[in-house]
Amino acid sequence: MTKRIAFLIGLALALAVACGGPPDDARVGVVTPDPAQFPPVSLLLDHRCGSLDCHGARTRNLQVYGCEGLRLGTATPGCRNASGTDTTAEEHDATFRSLVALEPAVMTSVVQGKGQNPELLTFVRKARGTESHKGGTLVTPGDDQDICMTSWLAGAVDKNACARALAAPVTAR
Amino acid sequence: MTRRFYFAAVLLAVWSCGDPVHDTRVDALGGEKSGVPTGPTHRSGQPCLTCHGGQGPADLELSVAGTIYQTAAPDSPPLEGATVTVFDATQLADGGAPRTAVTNAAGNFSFRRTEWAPVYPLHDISVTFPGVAAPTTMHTTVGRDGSCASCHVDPKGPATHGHVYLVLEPADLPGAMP
Ligand code: HEC
Ligand code: HEC
Repeated sequence: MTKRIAFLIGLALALAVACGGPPDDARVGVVTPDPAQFPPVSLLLDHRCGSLDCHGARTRNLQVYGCEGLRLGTATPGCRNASGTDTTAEEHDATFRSLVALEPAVMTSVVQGKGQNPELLTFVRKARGTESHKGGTLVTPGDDQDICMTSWLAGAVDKNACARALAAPVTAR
Repeated sequence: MTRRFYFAAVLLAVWSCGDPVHDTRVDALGGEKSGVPTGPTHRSGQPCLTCHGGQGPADLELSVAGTIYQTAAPDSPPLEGATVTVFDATQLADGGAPRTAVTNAAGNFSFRRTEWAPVYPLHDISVTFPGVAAPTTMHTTVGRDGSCASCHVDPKGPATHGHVYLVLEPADLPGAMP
């Protein structure tokens, strides 16, 4: 009997703790890489990560929007060459927000460190396959795709690397 | 008392080993259409791998499968005799040796897992038909799902591209199509 009472008190305490927390209007800040430089990276993410059965699904933590997958607003399905609308500014922005919100504190420290140690970010490790990833190993450190992402994190996106990466054939590693 | 507890725990464990999500997906596809025998021409337009993907209920395991229609119109008839070409990640679009399959009377095509277990992503998927000049090619890659209908269902929307078709309009079909 006393055991049960102790249990109930414990439960009430646990609930009280779980319901407490930061005030409703608290914000966790994030220092992000430059959103204006993001579109070439976003197009690559859409191409390599954003198919509707992968990060083009609303159920994923990292959500990628664009004309090769999930659309937003009034954009019609498919890129222009498939009689749809090319990726819109609104879609670049939505992908940007999803990406920087994954690990705000880590993103902040990578950006403040001028892109040193990008592998602190889970999305970089997953793309490189150094962390378990259903989509497999997609990039190799130092290849065009990797440079596209990490140059943006470092503050000056390498557009040429992004363009080459976008045009590269899809192969297994 | 304890015995009843263990019994309940075992029941719970057994129940949670089934995959309710999978069961719901299968149930959502409904029963067979009357008049269509269970086989290669059944369930056109449905995501074949929901049932043929290895988790049941079908024994036959397919790796890539779907249905092709003649036009983009929602009420388009299926397209028989179309060739579907699929590259996997081990094959370069330029010079690789893709897999091909031809659609049957229901517009269905399929690859059995025993004949092809592709390495993802799939890419440069196209549909061709005698008498139609250019192949209809998909630019997007497929990351993990071998059912065309997982992404290609009607109506077109933010997360679907409508059914797979050969040409936009009936007027673009070659000569004597039904
Ligand atoms: C709702 C579940 C379901 C869906 C969806 C479904 N099938 Fe089936 N299919 C079955 C079952 C059950 C059988 C019975 C034979 C078996 O168990 O393999 C079957 C049989 C078949 C067979 C004959 C197998 C044999 O061994 O003779 C073929 C071929 C086939 N289906 C192709 C398809 C194709 C192509 C699609 C998509 C257009 C499809 N099926 C969609 C459940 C399904
Ligand atoms: C992961 C989602 C997905 C899967 C699975 C998928 N597709 Fe697609 N498909 C798309 C998207 C998105 C588009 C529109 C953009 C584009 O052309 O890439 C498309 C476009 C197409 C087009 C071009 C249509 C047009 O309007 O130009 C064809 C043809 C096509 N798909 C065939 C297929 C076939 C055949 C399969 C099955 C083997 C398949 N697709 C599986 C997502 C998918």
